[in-house]
Amino acid sequence: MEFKQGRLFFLALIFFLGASIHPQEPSLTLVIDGPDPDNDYTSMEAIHMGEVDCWGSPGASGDLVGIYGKPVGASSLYDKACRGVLYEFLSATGGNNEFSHPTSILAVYVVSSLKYELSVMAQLNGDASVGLDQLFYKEDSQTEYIPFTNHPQTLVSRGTPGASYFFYDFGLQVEFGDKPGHYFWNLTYTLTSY
Amino acid sequence: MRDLTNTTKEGGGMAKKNLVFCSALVLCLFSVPASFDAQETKSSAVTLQADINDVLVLIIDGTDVGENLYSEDYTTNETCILGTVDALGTPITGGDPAVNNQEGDPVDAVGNELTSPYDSKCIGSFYQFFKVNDKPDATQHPTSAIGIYARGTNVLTYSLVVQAAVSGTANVTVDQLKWKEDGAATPTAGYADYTAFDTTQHSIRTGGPGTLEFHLFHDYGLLVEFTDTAGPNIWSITYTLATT
Repeated sequence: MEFKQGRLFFLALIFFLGASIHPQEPSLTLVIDGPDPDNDYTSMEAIHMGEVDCWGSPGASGDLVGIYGKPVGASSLYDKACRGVLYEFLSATGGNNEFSHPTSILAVYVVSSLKYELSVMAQLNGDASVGLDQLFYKEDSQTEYIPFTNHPQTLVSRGTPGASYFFYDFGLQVEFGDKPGHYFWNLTYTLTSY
Repeated sequence: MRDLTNTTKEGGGMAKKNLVFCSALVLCLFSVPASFDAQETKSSAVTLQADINDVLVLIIDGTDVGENLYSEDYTTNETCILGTVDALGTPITGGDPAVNNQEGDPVDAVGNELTSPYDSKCIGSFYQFFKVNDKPDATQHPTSAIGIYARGTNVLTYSLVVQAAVSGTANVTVDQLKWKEDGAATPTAGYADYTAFDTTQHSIRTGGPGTLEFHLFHDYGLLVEFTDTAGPNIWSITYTLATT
């Protein structure tokens, strides 16, 4: 009898505690938007940087035209130490919001009911003369570029629950040793809640 | 009369059962929220395409004012004005500032220097422009008539050739204009160390594989002969860089 009473008590306790601790299903959203004109966030974006070369010629095609490359390794293209050029795509700072991101090439929108971590990794398809790390990124508000890698790099750690926007600029280094051709960087952004 | 010993034993068993049941429930309760703490992951992908083009740059700078590579004095179309010259080697006037006042040296038919233009073997005078070898650097070429700069992406092979044509007065031929590398030994006089321009292509440099980068400096020399008909003469010199 005591056992039955105890069991009933514990069953009631289970119900009570179960009802009290039952959390909502965690909410997790990750969408991105590139420089295409639609300003629509999706889970799969394409960025076409157009035609570039190690002389820094302004691209005449692609999503961002008219951007010149700046010498790398020397102040002049004619310097023997010059390795190539760096094309900076939308390096200006500020002016981005949830409706548009005119000064960043990529906007990342995150919604999470829990703390989260955002990371990115990359792969490159093309001739081996071009390195994966010739593509760089930086936060829109920062000045220092970070090369992409083929292993995950943490962009945001301990992200605060809720909705957040992150804005990134890209840089592409084109070197004299690069073989001409089409190159594809596949970037994977991963959001993990915990 | 109840066996208190048995009752105590039964009570102890009951307590054990309750304890086990309770422990199981506690474990269940802890396991419920634990199941909601599992990580969840979402991914988004970007495909970024860049079309890398090759680059081939060939630019030159002549005797005009401004000889700085970094300041973009080098172009693809230069003009060198050598001014007024004659077979006696009279100092130049009316040319680019860098060539004015240059005198010609009397020479014989094979390019040797003579002591006097009045020597019967003298065929005319040879004007040497910037004959001194003074190691021009990347930005200036004060001791060479022309700077040649080439830059390009990865190539298997490359070749730089030059050819020339002359238009002007009678008896003046294309080979009266000559060139030599600035780094070559400085000749005392005469044109024996110079290479005559030609209407056919003459190889200047070949190389590869690898990235293409070189900077050359050439001196010019002009032979003016007594047989030349006076008047303006124009040499058109074409440098061609080809790659594979």
